[in-house]
Amino acid sequence: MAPLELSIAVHESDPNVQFIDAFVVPTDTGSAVLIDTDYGRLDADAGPFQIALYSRLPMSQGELAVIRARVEADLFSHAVRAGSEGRRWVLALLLGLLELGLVGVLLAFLFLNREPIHALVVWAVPLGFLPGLAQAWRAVARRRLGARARAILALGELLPTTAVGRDGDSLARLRDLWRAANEPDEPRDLMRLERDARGRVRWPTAARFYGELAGAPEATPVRGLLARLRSVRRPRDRLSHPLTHLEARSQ
Amino acid sequence: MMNLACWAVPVRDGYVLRADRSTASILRTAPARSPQYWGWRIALLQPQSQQFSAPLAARAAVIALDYARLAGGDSSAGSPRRGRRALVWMELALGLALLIASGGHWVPALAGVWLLAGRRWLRWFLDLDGRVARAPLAPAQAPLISSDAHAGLARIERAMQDVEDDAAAYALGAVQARAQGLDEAAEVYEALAGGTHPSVLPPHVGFWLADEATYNLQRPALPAPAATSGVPG
Repeated sequence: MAPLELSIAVHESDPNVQFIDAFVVPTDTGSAVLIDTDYGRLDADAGPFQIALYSRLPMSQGELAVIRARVEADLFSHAVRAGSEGRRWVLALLLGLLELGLVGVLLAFLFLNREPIHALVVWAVPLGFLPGLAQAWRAVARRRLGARARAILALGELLPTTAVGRDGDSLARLRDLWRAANEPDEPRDLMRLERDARGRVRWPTAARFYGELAGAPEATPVRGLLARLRSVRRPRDRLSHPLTHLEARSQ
Repeated sequence: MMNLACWAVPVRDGYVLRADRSTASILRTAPARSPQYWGWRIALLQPQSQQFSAPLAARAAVIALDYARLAGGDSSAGSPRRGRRALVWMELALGLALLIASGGHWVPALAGVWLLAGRRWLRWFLDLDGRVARAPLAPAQAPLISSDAHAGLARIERAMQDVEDDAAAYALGAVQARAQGLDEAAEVYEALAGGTHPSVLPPHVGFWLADEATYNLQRPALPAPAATSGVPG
């Protein structure tokens, strides 16, 4: 029986591929992998996807395979979620305009025929019709995101190899983050890492990553309508700009 | 092909094979992808010394992944569906209220009918809410299986070798696996630390695979007929 072949894990980059940047960043317990790529911007028509790994630690082939599998799961889950967005957006827009017309006629009717019973009807107008108008707006606003997600489902492939990340800015940010994390006489905790990522390194994605790792969104109390709306919007933001805590790894 | 990972967690007399937690998600989204990608490229994650029979490991890995596919795993689409259902009920209630309050006038009645059924029917008719096409997953290609050494598993295996008692070794393995973020391996060791033999592990924990020294596919379980023919009867 032939032994299983060892897969080739790290390759030189191919000029046609689009990179998904994966960073091995410090955490309070060791390190973790942070994906800093907006899946909504990936264009499957242009070529396959490949992970570009930025790491100051040596990674074994098995660890690279885990990262690939987790990124594959993340990427295609995003594509399935976003794939239904913006389908037939012109028709959705026309339906929205029709609904807007209906709201206009209804409001005009209620205004012209003032009766006590209509006071009961007025409150139903925004509650009943706003979701439909929001659907139309959403279809138009997210048409590109949906089209790209459907292209990922139709043509997208994550290559089984991992490239070495070579973008200068990314390398510098990672170096600065590790340098800040390894400073002597300071404990390495997530709040400090978040502060360093936001202030010294100027890497908002990493700052958000540490915030989510520390459970900051759950700890923040939701007060007032605006805060509630923001907390409702948070999952949508995450959908278009995923952050993935893939694996903790002790040093 | 889809990039999947399967853990070969080292235990005392072999390995426990278990699909990575990403598997359920990948296979759940697979039917939405183009059929040309319906193949499995499985990375078998093992400690640096590969001691298992390759064909048996390949078969066990496919079984572990298939189990993950059938078991499903957590669905992240739960809460939006609940929200959508609440929205539908609200629309129905408001539509009914508008119909009742219309007093026979066509404008509020039309708005009520629109909220009750019109909008949803038109969206269905125009296929605006159509989900991404899903077809039954039937991988036509044979899975490609590679073996990849995982540094974390190797560290755990080395640490466990120094401990004589099985239960203590598994408890140590569980602690080390948790510290390294290898939850799949930690769950296997936690199950084994309770005294369970790897062969009777529940399938959601993993599938036992004896190492090559224990069970060799090349060596037949029964003596070959030629060897017994010389025995005087």
